[in-house]
Amino acid sequence: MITKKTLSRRTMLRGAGAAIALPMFDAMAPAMNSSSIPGKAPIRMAFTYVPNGLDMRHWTPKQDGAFVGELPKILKPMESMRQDMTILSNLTQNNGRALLDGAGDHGRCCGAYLTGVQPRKSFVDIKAGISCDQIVANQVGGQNRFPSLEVGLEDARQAGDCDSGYSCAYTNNLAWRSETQPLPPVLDPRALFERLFGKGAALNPEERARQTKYRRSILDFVTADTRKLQGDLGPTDRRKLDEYLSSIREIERQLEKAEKDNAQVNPGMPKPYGVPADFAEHFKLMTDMITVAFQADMSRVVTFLVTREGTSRPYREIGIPDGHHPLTHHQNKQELLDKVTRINEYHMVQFAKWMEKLKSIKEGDSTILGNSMIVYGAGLSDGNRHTHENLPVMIVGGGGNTIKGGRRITYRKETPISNLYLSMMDRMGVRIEHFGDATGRIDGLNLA
Amino acid sequence: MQFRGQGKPSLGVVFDSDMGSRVETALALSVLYGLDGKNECRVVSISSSRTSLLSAAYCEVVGRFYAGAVSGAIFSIGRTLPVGLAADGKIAGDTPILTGPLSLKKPDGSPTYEHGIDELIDTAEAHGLIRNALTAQHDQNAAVVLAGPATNLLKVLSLPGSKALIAAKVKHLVCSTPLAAKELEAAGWPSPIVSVSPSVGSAVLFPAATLEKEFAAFPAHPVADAFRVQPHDAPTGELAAVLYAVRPADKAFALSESVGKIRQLLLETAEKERLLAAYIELATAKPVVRQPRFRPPAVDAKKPDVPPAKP
Amino acid sequence: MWSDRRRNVTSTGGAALNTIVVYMPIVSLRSVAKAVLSACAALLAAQGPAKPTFDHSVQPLLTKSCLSCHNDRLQSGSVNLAPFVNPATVLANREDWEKVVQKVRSGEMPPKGLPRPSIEQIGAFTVFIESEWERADKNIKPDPGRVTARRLNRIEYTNTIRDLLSVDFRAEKDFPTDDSGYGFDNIGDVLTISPILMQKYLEAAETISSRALGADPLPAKPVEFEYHSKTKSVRRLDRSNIEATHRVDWDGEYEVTIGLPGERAKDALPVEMGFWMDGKLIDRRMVETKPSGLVYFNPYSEEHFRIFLPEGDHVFRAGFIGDEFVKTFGADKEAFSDKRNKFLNMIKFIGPYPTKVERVGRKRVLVCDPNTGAACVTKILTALTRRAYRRPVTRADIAPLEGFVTMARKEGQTVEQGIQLAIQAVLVSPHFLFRIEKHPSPNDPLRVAKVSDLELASRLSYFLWSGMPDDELLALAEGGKLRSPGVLEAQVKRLLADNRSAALADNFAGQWLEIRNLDSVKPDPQKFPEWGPELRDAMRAETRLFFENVLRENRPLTEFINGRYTFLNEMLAKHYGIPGVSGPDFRRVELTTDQRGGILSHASILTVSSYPTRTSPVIRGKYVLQNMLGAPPPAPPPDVPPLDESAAAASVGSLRQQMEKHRTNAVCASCHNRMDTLGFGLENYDGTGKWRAKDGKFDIDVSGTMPNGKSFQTPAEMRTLLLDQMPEFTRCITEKMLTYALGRGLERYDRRTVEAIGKKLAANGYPFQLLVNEIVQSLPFQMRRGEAPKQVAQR
Repeated sequence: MITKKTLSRRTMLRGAGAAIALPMFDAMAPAMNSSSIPGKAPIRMAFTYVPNGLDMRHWTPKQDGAFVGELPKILKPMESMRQDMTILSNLTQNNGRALLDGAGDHGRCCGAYLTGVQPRKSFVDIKAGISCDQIVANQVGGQNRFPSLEVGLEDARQAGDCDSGYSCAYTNNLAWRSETQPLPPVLDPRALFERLFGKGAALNPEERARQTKYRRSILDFVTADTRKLQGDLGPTDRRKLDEYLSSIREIERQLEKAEKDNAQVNPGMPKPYGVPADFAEHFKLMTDMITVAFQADMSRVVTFLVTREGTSRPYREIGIPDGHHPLTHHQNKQELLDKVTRINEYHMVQFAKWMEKLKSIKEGDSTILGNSMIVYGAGLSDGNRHTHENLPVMIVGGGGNTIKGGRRITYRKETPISNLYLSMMDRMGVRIEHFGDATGRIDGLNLA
Repeated sequence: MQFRGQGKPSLGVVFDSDMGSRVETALALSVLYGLDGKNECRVVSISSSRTSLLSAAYCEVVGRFYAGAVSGAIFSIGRTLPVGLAADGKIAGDTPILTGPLSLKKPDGSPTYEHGIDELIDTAEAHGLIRNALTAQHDQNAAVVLAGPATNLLKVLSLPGSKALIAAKVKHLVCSTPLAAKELEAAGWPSPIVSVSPSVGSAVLFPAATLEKEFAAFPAHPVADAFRVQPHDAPTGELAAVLYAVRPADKAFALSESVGKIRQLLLETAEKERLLAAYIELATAKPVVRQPRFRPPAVDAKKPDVPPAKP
Repeated sequence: MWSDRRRNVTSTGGAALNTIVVYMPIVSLRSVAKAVLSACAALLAAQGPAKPTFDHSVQPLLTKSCLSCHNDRLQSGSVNLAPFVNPATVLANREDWEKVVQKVRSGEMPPKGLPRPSIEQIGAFTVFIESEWERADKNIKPDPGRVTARRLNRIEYTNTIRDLLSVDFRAEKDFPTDDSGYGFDNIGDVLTISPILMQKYLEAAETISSRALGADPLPAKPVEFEYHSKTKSVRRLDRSNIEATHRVDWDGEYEVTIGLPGERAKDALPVEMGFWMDGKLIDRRMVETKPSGLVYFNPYSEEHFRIFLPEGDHVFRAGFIGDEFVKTFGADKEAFSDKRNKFLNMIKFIGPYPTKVERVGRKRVLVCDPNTGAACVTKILTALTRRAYRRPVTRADIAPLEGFVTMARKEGQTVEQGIQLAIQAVLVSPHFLFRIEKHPSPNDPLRVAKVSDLELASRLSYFLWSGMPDDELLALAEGGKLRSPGVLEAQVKRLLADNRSAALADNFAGQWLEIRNLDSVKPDPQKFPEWGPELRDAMRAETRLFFENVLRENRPLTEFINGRYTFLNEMLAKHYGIPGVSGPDFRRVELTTDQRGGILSHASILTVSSYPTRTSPVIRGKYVLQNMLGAPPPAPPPDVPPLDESAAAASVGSLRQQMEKHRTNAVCASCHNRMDTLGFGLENYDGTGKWRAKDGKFDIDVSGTMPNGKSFQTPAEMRTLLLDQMPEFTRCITEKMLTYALGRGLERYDRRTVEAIGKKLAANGYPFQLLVNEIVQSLPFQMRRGEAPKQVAQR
C-alpha cells in the first residue's frame, strides 16, 4: 500500500477527482539511525563529482520507478549493483545559474554544488558557503580521526584564469570548510596514504608518543606567538592568522584522536609512490584507501573530485586525444557526442569497481555499501548548453536500510538538489532546518 | 558590454493565479504576454494555486502560444522555467474554461494545443519556482501579480531568506483581491502591496464582441477559446492588476492612501475608454516569437534532457 | 588585470544587486596614459581662443556616432548612452566612459559600415574627456594600498629552506597546490592555510630539521630499488626516454644503474645518454651502441654511476639525447627489438652510501659546539632565527626556543636533538611562514607609512628571487642603510645578476606567459609525433633563456614582440626548421628569416595556447589580448557556450571558413573579430609551434585587419603592427609585474604608478631593468596604509 502511495506521488491529480497524496517526507526520525549511536554500524556519506556534465541520453533510464531491462549505456558498468542504486531525476542547482553574474557556469556550478549558495564571482575575494559534507563533519565528524577526507585525481591548474572571472578555487575544490575556505583535495596517493596511516608508521610507541608530545608543544608555541602578533595587525591580516590558528586547532584535535585510539590501522597495501601515470590505477589507489578509511571508521565523510570542473584533460587511455571540455561543446555532432559518452562510461567503470569493493566488505549483517550513501553526479546536466536543471544524480548504497535502490525516482521540476542533501544529513544524524536553497527534504528514498 | 545602472532588462513579472476559475484570469495572462511582446516586461514565472493538472497545462499552452507554438519553443514559460503548481491543496475540479480549449482537436485528431504536462512531475513546486525566478532579477526590477488566493505566495514567504529576497527584488505586489492582500500583509510580505479595489473590475468590461473582431484574426487562440466557452463581457480587475504592475504611471490608475502596507488601486473614470482600448490591444496582440539567444537550433530540437522520459 | 570591485559587489546583496555585472574586465589604462600627453596638448591649446568644452568636443560625436544605436529605445548591446549627454557623467560614470573612449579610439566603435568620425573629432573627444579625468585625479591623495600578510607559497618555501638550511626540499611535491589570483600564485589574499597544509608544515619541519643536522643515521646496509619495463615500473615516454618516480629516503650517494638492452649496426655511432632528476640534467655520458663483440644471448649493457641524491620524491628520467637513429624505425616493435636497436629499459638505485658532500646546512646551523653550554645554544638559535624571521630577534623570540632544547634534554635526548626540535618550531612559526608587515596604525585606512627597511628587503628578495634576503641585503636593512641614495638600485642590480633571479623567469614569466601549463598540456602523439619530454623541456628553456636575456642584458621590451634572435638547441632548431644548430646545448641564434621573431613565435607559447589535437585561434587570440595587450576579451554572455571550434574542425571547410560562418552572429562577432584576427595571425604555427603552410588540405589564410584599420598578410607583419601597440604592451607587462611584485591585485589608485612607469619606459626606450627599478621605487612597493575594519558583506 505504501507502493500505491509512491505511485500516486507521480500520478496524482491526473484529471478530475483523483485523490491528492500529501507529499511524503521521510518518516525516518534522525535519531533512529544516527551514526552516533554506539554499537550501530556507522553511516558513511560520499560525493563523487565528475565534470562538464554528462550525456543525459545515456544516463536517464527510460521509465520512472523500478529499473526495467537494460540500464542506459553510462550506467551499464553498475549492472551488478542495480539493486543498490537509485537515479534521482529533475534535481536542480539554481545557484549554478547565471543569476545576473553572467558567464562562468563551470566555476559556478562546482562552487554551488555542495554549498547550495551562489559563489561570489571573483578571482580573489572568494566566497561560497559551508558545504553539506563539512556541516556533517563539524557536527558528527569529531568521533573520527578525520572528520572528512577530500580526494581528487587531477592536479590543480597552474596558471591563467579558471572560468570567466571565477577563481580556480571554485573548480579545484568541492568541500568548503567556511564561506571563504575551500578544502583542497589530496591528489597524490602517497600523500593520502601518509595522511591516513602516518609518515611515522615505522616509529615505535614511545617514539610516537614523544613525537605527539613535541608536536603539541610546538603547536602551543606558535599559537601563543600568533596571538601576540595579531594584536597590532589590520582586520584582513588578523583574519589570515585566524585561519592559520583554526588549522592548528584541527591538527591538535587529530593528535588527541590519534592518541586515544593509537591502534595502528593496517593499510592492507604498500605505500604508493607518487601519482601513477594510468588514470584507472590512480582512481583505484585513491578509492582503495577511502575504502580502508571507511572500514576502519577513520572517516565517514568524503568528497571525491574525480577531475576538475571544466577540465580539458584528454583520455588517451581510451583513445580519445581531444580535451574533455571542448568535446562537451559537441553541438550535437554525433562523433563528438560519442566521445563524451565514452568518457562518461570510462569514469563509471572505475566508480563501479569501487562500489563493488565496498559491497564485498561485510559489516554486521550488511556491507559497507549497505551502510553508505555514495552520490555520483555532476554540476551540469548538458555540458553543451550548460544546463543546471535535471542534473545527473545517482545515489548508491542503502544508507543503513534507509534507502531503497533499484529504481529511478523523478521529482518535480526545479526541485533543489539541496533537498537531497538535507535528507542525507538526516541519515548522518545531523538534523538541520535550512540548507542552501532547500525547500524541504526529498521524499520516497526509503520507500519502495 | 553592459553599463552600471543601465541596460537593465525590462521589468520581470511573476504571475500567480488560480487559473481556470474565471476567464478573466486567462485574459489577464494574455494582457501580460501582450506587454511582454512589447518589451515592457518579461514573464519570468507562471504558477497556479488551483490544484489541477489542467490548470498548469492551460498556463503552459498559453505560454507556448505566445512563444510561437509553431516553433514549440521549450523556453516558453518564463523563458526557461516550467509551470509552478500548488500540489498540497484540496483537489480542484476541472472547469470548462480549462477543458474547453484543451480538448480541442485538429482535423487530424491531434490536440489543437500541445502541452507537456501529464503528471505532477511535469510541473514545479510553485513556491520554489517563484523564489528561483526572483533570484535572477535585478533589484527593484520585479513585480508580482497575484490573481487568486495567496496560497503559493504565503509558501514563498515561509522559505528561509525569502523575505530579504523579495524586499530586494520586488518593486510591488499587485493583488486582484483585498483578502489575499490582507493575508500577505499579515504574513509580513515586505514589498509595497497594491490591492485592486472591487469597483475597478466591474467599471470596465472586456467585450465578448472581441471574439468576432480582434480574436477572429487568429486561426486558434487559447485565450479566445477559453472565452468562447461562455462568451460574456468579462470584468477586468485582474487585467488592471497586470497593467498597473507594468505601467504604474498610467494615468488611468490612482492609488488610495495606504492602510497599513496596502494601497487600493482606483480608476480615473475619464480614462476608462483608453483603458479598455489598451486591454483589447494587448490581449489580442500577435505573439512575438523570441529566439532564445544564440544557439544552433539543432540543440533545442533534440535537447536531450527535456522533456523527461515518461512511462 | 584590475581587480573588478563591482564584480565582487554584485554578489554582495543590497544595493549591489542593481549594478549590472560588467562582463568586460576593466579597461586597461591605455586611454589614460595617452591622455597625459594629449592632455598637455589640450592645456597648451587652452591658451588659444576655444577652450575645449563638452558641448564642442564630446556632445556632437556622441549624438552623431553613438546615439543612433545606443539610445533609450534600442539600447544596442544593452548599452544606452543617452544619459551620457551630460558633462557631469564624465567623472560620475568614469568606468563607463573609459569603455566608450577605448572603443572609439581603438576604432571598434562605430562598427564597420557606419560613418566614422574624423581623426580630429576623435582626438578632441578623447583629449577633452581624459583631461577632465587628469584634473580630477590631481586632487586625489596618492594611495599605496595594502598587501595582505603573505604565506610563503610552495616555491618560496622551497627556496627559503634552500637558502636558510641548504636543504633540498621540494614543497611542490609535498604541499597542496597554491590557489592563484590574477594569474599568479603569490597573492596574499588567496594563499590560505588548510589543516592538510598545516599537517604538511609540521611533517616538513621534522624532516627538514633532521636533514639539516644530518641527524637520522643512514641504514646499515644500502637498499636496492629497481624500476624495469618488464614490471611496468618505468614509463616509456618515447623511444629514447624512460622515466620512474622514486622516493629517495635519505640524502646520500647512490649507485645508479641504467639497463641498455640491444645493439645497433656495426657502424653505429655512440650516442649521448642523459640522466635527469625532476627535469634537471644531472649526469651525461657517451654510450656505445654498436655490437659489443661479447657474446650475449640477448645483447645487453649497463651504465653505472654514483651520484648524490637529495631526500624526497623525484622523477628520474634516463634517455638518449638527440638520438636520430630511432626515428628510422617504423613500428615500435622494431624500435624495441634488441637485434635492431639499443634502447633503455631499467633504472636501478642502490644506496644510500655515506656522502663525501659536506653537510653545508649542519655547518651553517652549528656556528659553535652546542655541547659547550647554554651560551652557544643561544648563539646558534639567535643566528638561525634572525635569518628565518628575516629580522633581528629579541630575547622574547629566543627564550621559548631554548625551552625546546631543555624539553628534549628532559626526554633524555641530546642538545643537538633539542636544537633540531627548536628548528622545527621555527619552521612552523608565523614569523617564518608568513611575510607580515607591521603598520603604525593598522586600522586607519588614511594613514600611509613606509614599510620598514627589513620588510622592504623581503619584498625585494621575494620579488626577484622568490626567496629570503641574503646576508648582505639583511645586513643593509638592519643597518637602516637600504634606502640611502643609490643603495636600492645597486641591490636590484646585484640581485638580478645573481642566478637566483632565474626565479623571475620561472615564476613571473612562467605564469605571465602561462609557460607552466607546458606540464599539463598533452599534445596528441598521433598528430604531433615529435612531442615528448625532451621537446617540452627545450620549449620551456627557449622562453626562459630569452626572458632572462632581455632581463639580465637589460634589453628593450620591444624584443618580446619582435626580437630578431632566440635560444635553441638542435632538437628545437630542427622543430623550427632552422639549420646549423647541433648538440643538446642551448645557444643564442640570430633569426635570418621572418618566420620567427619575438615570444609569439616561441613553441612554448604556441603549444600552451592550443588544444591537444589542433590549434585554437580563439585561445591564441585571447592569449595575445590578455597577456600581451592587457585587454582580455569579455567572457561570453550568460548561457552561451564558447564559440565551438571542435564542431567547426570536425566539419568540412577550413577552420577559418567554418568559424567565419559561425561568427555571423553579432553577439559573438563583436569580440571574436578582435580575438580571431590575432589568433588566425598565428595559424602558420601548428599545435606545437611548428611552421606550416597548410592546415590539412586547406591553405592557411593568416591575413587580418587590426581594429585601427591596418592590415597584415603574415605573422611577421602582424608582429610589426603589434609594435605600434608598445604602450599597451608596456602597460600590460607593468600591470602583471607590479601585481606579482606586490602580491595583490591592482586597484584604481595604482593606475598613476603604472602610467608613470609607462611614460618613463617609453621615454627611455623600454629597457627591462628600468621597469624592475621603477617598480621597486614605486609608491605601492615602498609604502602601505592601514585598513578600515570591514563589515563582512552578506549575500
